[in-house]
Amino acid sequence: MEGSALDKLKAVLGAILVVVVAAYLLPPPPPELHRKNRIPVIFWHAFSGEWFPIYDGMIQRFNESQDKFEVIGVVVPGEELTTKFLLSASGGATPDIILNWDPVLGMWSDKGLISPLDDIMSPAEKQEFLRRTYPIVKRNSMYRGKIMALVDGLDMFAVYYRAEDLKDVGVDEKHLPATLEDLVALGRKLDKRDGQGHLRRIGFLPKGIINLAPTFGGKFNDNGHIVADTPGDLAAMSFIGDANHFYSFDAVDRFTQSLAADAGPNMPLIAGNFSIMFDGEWRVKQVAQYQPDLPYYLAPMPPPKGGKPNASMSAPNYLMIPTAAKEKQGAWEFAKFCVGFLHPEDGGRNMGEMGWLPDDPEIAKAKSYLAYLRKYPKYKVFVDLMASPNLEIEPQGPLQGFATDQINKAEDAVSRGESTPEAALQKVMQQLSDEKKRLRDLGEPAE
Amino acid sequence: MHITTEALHRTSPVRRWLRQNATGLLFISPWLLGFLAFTVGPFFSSVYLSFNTYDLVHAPKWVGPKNYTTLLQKDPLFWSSMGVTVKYAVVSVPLGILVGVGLALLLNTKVRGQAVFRTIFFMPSIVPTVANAVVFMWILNPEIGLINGLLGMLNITGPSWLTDPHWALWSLVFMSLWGVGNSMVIYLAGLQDIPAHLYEAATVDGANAFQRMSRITLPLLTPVIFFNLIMGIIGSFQYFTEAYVMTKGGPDGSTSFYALYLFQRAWTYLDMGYACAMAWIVFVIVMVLTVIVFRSRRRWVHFGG
Repeated sequence: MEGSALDKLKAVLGAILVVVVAAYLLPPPPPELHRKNRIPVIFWHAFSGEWFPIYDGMIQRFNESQDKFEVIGVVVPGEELTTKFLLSASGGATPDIILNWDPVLGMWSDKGLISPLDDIMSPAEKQEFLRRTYPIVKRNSMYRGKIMALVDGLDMFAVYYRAEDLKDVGVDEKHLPATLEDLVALGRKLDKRDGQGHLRRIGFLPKGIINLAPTFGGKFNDNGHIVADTPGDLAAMSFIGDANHFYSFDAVDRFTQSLAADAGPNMPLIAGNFSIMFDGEWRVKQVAQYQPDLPYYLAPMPPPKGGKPNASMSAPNYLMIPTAAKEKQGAWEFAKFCVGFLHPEDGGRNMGEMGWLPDDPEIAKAKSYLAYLRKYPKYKVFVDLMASPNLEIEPQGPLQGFATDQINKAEDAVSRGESTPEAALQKVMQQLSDEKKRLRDLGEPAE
Repeated sequence: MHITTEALHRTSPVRRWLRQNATGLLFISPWLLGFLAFTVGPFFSSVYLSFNTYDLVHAPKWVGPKNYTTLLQKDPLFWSSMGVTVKYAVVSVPLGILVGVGLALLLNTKVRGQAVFRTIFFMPSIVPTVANAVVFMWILNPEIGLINGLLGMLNITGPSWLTDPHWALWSLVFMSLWGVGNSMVIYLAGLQDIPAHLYEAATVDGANAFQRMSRITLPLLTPVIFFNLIMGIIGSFQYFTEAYVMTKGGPDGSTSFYALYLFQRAWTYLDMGYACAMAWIVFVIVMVLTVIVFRSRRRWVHFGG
């Protein structure tokens, strides 16, 4: 009897165990649909915090406009989005659409992780896309001749001047620097040090070679090939090196590390840590949010001698449809709605609410976007830049992550005075060449 | 279902063992399944993957030992990251033992509030690593940080701890002492395991405090030191989180630890095969070091009776 009771207990425990393991291993139930008879479209993005209600509002507007699809937004922390997506792709269970701002377009395209949109859009849509989209948006969307993503927000860069600081040295909006050399001279006048000689304000501090290079005529993407040693790149690197040597790297490092925050009410432009900043379009809305009465001027970066006017690097948020997506048509409909492709009024509202640049002039002229520009008139500087021929895109291709890392390390070495600009950029090219050779040896695509 | 002794003898030894241990195996089966699927499986598949190129998406492609030969012969970052890791291990492991033993000795003395002091010194080791890293980024800030603030009161200009290549690695070594409470507790347990009569006998024989320490305390603590040495070596070759959060391998590659480079290869450049080869190289190194330490124990570890 004892043995039989034990056997029964074992059987019960075994059954419980099987149920627990099965519950653990079975796939999760499909996400709950809010509306019946709709096809779910799973969308991964990283807009949390203050951005979440705005972005979620856009998703809801799309869902209300639909009778076929329902987009279900899933917020994934930005720094984990790429890793999580790669894991989902390896398991064949990707979302239907993903927004990512990491420089991944080339790598993901080469690996076949994302679908060419040419295969999803109709021929008429493709023709329209090529006709109406700003050239810089097209360059960012395309890879090896295929449209691999829509651009949902493009970062561009211009110069912010704190009006009060400029007033102290007798400069107003009508007399902003016309050349980069003038801008540097003005910046030096605005530097402030305390009694011990420590920097308390820097007039102008150039930083970020990738963003600065276009002003010098430099680039990192030469018709699909990564380059890092053009004369413009070298000039930009020298410019950054000179500025750091002028102040001393250690002084600059200590000063920048003492700053309270990069965003929010204490961001450098508001706090007055810098009088002149080369920064992105998102600051316009941030300033309006945190200190609406801050007087400042905004203008494109003035070119150096031999440089290019109205130049800027561009950095996109990519809206991509994974190859393993189950609902590509729904994803495409949503992508069009997000960026306002063929929906200029919706696009104008979406872009305006997020404080983003329009993908095409039709959106820029939409009533909803004009209303945004009336509210934030300074933003027009960036909208006007969109049509400039002197815009550049970041490195692309299988080595884009590797190249970006090496370029940033080179800038660090030059800023510290541990390498000359020439040697640092040559080293980058050598590293790129070695890495390409390694990949070729392994039979992998290198370019 | 009733199993007789005779029946048990008739079955094969494996089946007999399974029958005898069925209940226990059933109870640990959730863990066992997880261990097989998520530890043993990846462990062996990583051997295979290290001889392939693999990007997570496409099927692995066999390349033979090329990943290993490239790493050892053509990858300067492999050697520089290994150098940083070895440098860290060589300094932080002995330092951690020294400070851990020192603290344990201090906290083993019978003073008022002994339990409170022990708690205070142990508490930092239970703070999550990332939270620790963020706090230390402020403590080590060159302008507004606590340490340079204190140095400033002595008219000393403190360095840029985390952004000066000459200081960054040593700052992380210094920071590693913050978590020494974990090993300290083990040393404390070891100290309390030393029989009191040995000290009494030594005192009767006229041994002074230094002699009691060098002839009784330290020799009898060596099994615990041995354990912490092995764990320290393994831990230092896996050092990742603090460097990832605080320095990202900079400045100038001075904190580009091996595990950080491995992570970058795997998840930034999608070189999973290459990263697997890196993992196996470091595994072999750690194994060799562990074997060396194990073999050396006969010379310096005293297991009491």
